[in-house]
Amino acid sequence: MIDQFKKALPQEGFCDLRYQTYSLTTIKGSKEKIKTAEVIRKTGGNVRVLTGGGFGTFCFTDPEDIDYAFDQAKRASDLIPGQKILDKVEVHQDQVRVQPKMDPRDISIEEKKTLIQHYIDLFLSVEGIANLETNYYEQMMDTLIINNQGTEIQQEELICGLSFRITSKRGDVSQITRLSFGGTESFEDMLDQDQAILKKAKQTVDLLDAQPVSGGQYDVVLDPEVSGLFIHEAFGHLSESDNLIGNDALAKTMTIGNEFAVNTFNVIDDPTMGGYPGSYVYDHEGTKAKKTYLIKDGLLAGRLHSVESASLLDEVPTGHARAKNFGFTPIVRMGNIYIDKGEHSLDDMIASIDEGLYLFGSAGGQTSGDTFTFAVQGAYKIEKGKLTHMVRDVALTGHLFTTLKNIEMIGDHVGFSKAGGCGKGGQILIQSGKGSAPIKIKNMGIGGK
Amino acid sequence: MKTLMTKALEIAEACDIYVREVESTSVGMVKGELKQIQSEKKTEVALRLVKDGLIGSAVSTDIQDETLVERAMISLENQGTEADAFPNEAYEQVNAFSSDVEEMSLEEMVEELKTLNQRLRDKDDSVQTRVFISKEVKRVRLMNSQGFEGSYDKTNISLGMSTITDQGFHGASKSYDSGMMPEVLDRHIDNLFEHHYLGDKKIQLDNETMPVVFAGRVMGSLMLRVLAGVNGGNIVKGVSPMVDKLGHQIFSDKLTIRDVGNLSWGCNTMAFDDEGTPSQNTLVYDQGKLNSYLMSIGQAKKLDLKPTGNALKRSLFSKEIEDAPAVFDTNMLIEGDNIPDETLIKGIKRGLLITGVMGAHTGNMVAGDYSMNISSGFLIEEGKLVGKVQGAMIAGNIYDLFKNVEAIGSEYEVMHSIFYPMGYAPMVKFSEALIIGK
Repeated sequence: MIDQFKKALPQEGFCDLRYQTYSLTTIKGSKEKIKTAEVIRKTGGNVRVLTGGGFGTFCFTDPEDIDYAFDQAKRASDLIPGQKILDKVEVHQDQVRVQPKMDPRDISIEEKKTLIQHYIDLFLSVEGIANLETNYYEQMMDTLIINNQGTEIQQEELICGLSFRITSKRGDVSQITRLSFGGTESFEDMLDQDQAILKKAKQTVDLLDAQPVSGGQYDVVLDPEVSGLFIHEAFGHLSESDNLIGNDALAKTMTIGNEFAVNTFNVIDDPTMGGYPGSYVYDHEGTKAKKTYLIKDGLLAGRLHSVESASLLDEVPTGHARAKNFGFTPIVRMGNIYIDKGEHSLDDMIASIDEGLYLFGSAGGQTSGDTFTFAVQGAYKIEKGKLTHMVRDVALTGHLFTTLKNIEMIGDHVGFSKAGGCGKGGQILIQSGKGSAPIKIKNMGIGGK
Repeated sequence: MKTLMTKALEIAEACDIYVREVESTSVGMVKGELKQIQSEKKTEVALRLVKDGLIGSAVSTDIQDETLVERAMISLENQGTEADAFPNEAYEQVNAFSSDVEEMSLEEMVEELKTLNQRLRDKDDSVQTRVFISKEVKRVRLMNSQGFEGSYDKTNISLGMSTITDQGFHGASKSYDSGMMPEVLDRHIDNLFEHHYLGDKKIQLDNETMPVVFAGRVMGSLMLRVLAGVNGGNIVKGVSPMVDKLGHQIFSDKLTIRDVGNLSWGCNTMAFDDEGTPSQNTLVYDQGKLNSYLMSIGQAKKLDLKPTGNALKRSLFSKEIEDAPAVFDTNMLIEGDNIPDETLIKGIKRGLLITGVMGAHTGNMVAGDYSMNISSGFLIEEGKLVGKVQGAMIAGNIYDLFKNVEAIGSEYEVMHSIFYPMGYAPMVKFSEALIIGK
């Protein structure tokens, strides 16, 4: 089939094909039972042609449509006035095979179900847990990327993980938390998690006794999961340089060297480090992924690129153009973004606050331009430098550049979230990692209920 | 499909086969320049098998996929979902397909965009804008071993326009979603620019309880919580606050909510849902009184009620087939006294008009909680919009908020549930809501 595809590649301008077999095994539980187990398998391709002023793209599921797909994509590109040239295309020929420490594909569905049912039973053994949604996923993509510049890459991408959405309920009050394991190609992290489950179940029940937080401005310390969500939502999306194409005003704001934060603040995106949700070798344009400093010593140091954005901005392509699957065109996405460690212990950070909040556990967020919002699973009050009681129903909002300037302390260790997941342009990408050192931010906007 | 059914019935007692073919094209224009043009032509197939009282399913992109039956059996053997009988009910065709939309060429779509862009430039060429158009033609076929054989075709047009702020960020916006080509009225363009200009008058609020008007387009953020509350799955599990509340007065009597699967030219109109239940016009809240849940066949059976035609093979974040059918909106509609929008705004001494929020997907949705950033909101003083609020949040619970419905506007806009359209709503005025400002 590869030869047939190669033969179909037009030689004019730039064009490429990504052809994928996408398998998704899921085991889902609702309350005490495993309800569904499925193996979805889809195959299809996505072609891009650049002979005019912009890309024409076409997705197809029938391989016989390959010539039609290229014709339609070329027709679309030719309709766009101008002639865009890509001069940052890396050419690679390579094969990438996954080699998990513990391959989830070698473990039977029966064995996986036994483990998952054990965890479900453990959660529900804790009094006060009213509902549990369980989701085991195992996604395998076998991707072929070829283009008319000579690239030919065959790459396997595997990720598996187990996530729980836990609800506690007493009377009219209910609380929801989340717990995830895995987020890598190995099944290993799913094992021996009894203690983590019991701890999360207790926390979820304890939140029922917490008071709703009062909305207002607080000095806050964010745990690594919440800090990771903050840097992902607030800054990571703004670093995706497809936003800058044709947007001079934003490009000015995002001028390399601009001062954004204190000089001990560093933000990095690194898909090349193994073992996290956003780890990969080649992006979906066939560019090799690169560790990229986004903020270094408080100054804007770089951004995430596709071939198109790197060509237009005359910068190095970083290998961050990815797609959920063949049904979508690659767009600039984060790999593993994180705030690097600083010098403060968590105790010092908490001790520095007279009245504030320590926020734990992410619960989803969103960004629009320079404004962000996200929810957290709960918080502890900080009073006179000490953690006291829990509060619930906590959401944050803020203006990115003000908030970055308000970061006063950076913790001395980095933690990563086990759950990937990011939505952009209608594509939810589970292979997106985030992490951080804990950080202290002054004057954070907190919304209560 | 018949070959696959024959093969499936060799090892299963019953089966259904669902085939969805989609062709779509999207075109975007930024600052008057065409950008990327995306198209697709794809097929998805889902097979469900029943044996020994259990059900299993498999999904593919090829109806001749040799592994479909085998994978559905693996699914059946490994899951605990009890099978329900597949339906074989007569359904009526609906107005969901426009041959004008199907025949609209790429070149004609580009011309539509150019015309819309020119109208925006004619209004004020100093403001940078984005416009987009997207066309979809969907063909759905479903057959099951009970004898049901159904099909329907659906077209959809999404059209949108937005402004870009001087800082390069998103300004004001307006979008349309319909089975046929929508009409962009001059006053919609006037309204878009009025909201854009108000962005220059930035206002910071303190924490304040005040009257709040949700524009129709952002009612989706609250309706996601309404939907979670009446979702048959959450009722069966006992986690919704609406358990055992049928017939109870839950919201203000000024508010009526429907889910209309057979709405002519609606954004999510269908002849039958993905289980084969004919689409319906379901009165969910009748003048604030809970009248019906939204249920799949299995949920309805457990609750001793009738399915409502809301079982769809999608998820909150994906329209691809990734899962067993679950309850989702078709075309949700908000109804009420429908007073003119201008009258509704004019009657407010001090309040807030919200036209954009962030964080609609976060928090305890089933409980009705919301805590959202107001990404686009305008302070109303003496019946006039006076500026755009900065950095404010709105937080609360819909089961409190919806008791305070004071008026329902008249001009319907498409609502969105995160990525996708979920129906239509006019602006809704709540007598008071907590705004968290500085």
